[in-house]
Amino acid sequence: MSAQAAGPVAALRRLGAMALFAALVLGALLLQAAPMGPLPDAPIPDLAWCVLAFFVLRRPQAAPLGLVAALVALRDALLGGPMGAGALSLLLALEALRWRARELPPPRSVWGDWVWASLGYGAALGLQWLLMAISLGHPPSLVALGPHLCATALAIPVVAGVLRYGLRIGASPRQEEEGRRLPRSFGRSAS
Amino acid sequence: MARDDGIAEGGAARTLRRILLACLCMALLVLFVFWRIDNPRAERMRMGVVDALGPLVERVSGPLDFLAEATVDFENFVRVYEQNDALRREIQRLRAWRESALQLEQENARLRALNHVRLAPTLGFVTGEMIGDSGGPFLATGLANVGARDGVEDGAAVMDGSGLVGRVVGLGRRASRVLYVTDYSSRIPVLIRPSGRRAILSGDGARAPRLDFLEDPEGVRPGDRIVTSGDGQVFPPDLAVGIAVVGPDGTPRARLAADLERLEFVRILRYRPDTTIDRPGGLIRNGPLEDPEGPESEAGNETGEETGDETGGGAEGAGTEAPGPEASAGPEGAGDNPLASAQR
Repeated sequence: MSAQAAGPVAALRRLGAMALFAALVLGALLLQAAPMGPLPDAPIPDLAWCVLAFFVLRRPQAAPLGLVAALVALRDALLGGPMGAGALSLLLALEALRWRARELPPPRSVWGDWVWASLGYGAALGLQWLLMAISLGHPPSLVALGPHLCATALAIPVVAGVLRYGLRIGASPRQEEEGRRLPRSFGRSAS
Repeated sequence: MARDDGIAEGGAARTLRRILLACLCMALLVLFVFWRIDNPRAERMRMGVVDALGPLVERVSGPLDFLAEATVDFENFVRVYEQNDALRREIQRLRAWRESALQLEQENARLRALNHVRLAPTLGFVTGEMIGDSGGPFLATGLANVGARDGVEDGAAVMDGSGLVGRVVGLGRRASRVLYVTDYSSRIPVLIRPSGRRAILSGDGARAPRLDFLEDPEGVRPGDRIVTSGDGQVFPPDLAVGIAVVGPDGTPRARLAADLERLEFVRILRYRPDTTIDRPGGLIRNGPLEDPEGPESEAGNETGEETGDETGGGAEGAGTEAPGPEASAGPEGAGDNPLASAQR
């Protein structure tokens, strides 16, 4: 009886996690798209990427390929970047992160994930730039991408911290239990 | 086999995932190619999504605006005495300018009355609020909460209170996307005053866009006024753009009059070019000359009489009332009436 009930409950739980993932990415997109008004002209970090990368690395079951593709396409539509190129590059970068999550099961080094997420974003920006240049568009200078990449790389641990410790997302029940028994710092490593 | 973190590891599932990924990548690549080939249609598709999400963006941007304004209010409060002094000085200076402006206005009115000047049609505009920004480095665009239902047209010039901001590149029913003049793909023909030299204002991501294809850069001085030239008939002429400056790399650039960092409200202009010259004038005749004493001469005389009547009516209209866009933009009138064309 309990085994029969576990199927629908697990499916519902997964659907809930997917809905939460979509809502968080949409929230990050809206926050990113909102005009900052009279604030200094600083590079705005790609908050949507931070959320996407966190989920793909830490809760991949809540971020299936189809949903991720829909969200990155929505990101392109809302933020007004090169249509299709942004979604394509982000999707490929996220699949690279998913490959890492698959090959290196948790517990993994948080710092390693941070480096991978930053490199993935850098690669995605590079691919967008390349597609724009190949299609005779007007890509920005590569130097101009640097501040944006740095801002996003710095925002990744902040967003991850909010999601992990603020909303308690990304920890399995076993990890939660471990965490309760032996509280550790944010930088827990595989060793 | 499924692991405890939920990633399916089965061979069939992996193959299916790879096929799905390849299909999605192809679809996105096709979308990109479509965007590059048929940009207006792709932008319309994009604006459909923005139309649906526009109210949501406005709700999110409201509290953020409030926070940003509160920060500025606090800064203003700290500098209130200093600002008060500066404003008093500014008022004194502007009073002197006001007197000069009134005198010039009266002189201008007298000269216009003497010369029967035909003015360009008054520009219409619609004012909207900026509700969104592009967060990425590839495109400098923003979203305004006015669209096709408010009379906005694709390609329309967008201004703030001080100068040109950009142009509309995507049009939805309730929202429109504005491409800022600082964007990498923005190119606007401009005129530099008082030298009258023409250039192309090219965005390159910097706050001060470049002045490309400048005729004789030595004739342009820092501080010269830059306005739109109206070439290409996309933008109306004489819209304020900014002033000429020398960039850090020694290239001539334009310091924008519009404040893109504090962009809250924008005016989107409704502009139709006043006159379109799409055929040779009446004095240049296509085809062989005909015998003036032939039977067709009567028809020619009749045409001449009609032309004379129309000319009289046109001149009268120009002298007595301000011309509307409909009255002045008729290509048929321009072709049939050489005198009217010459007056324009």
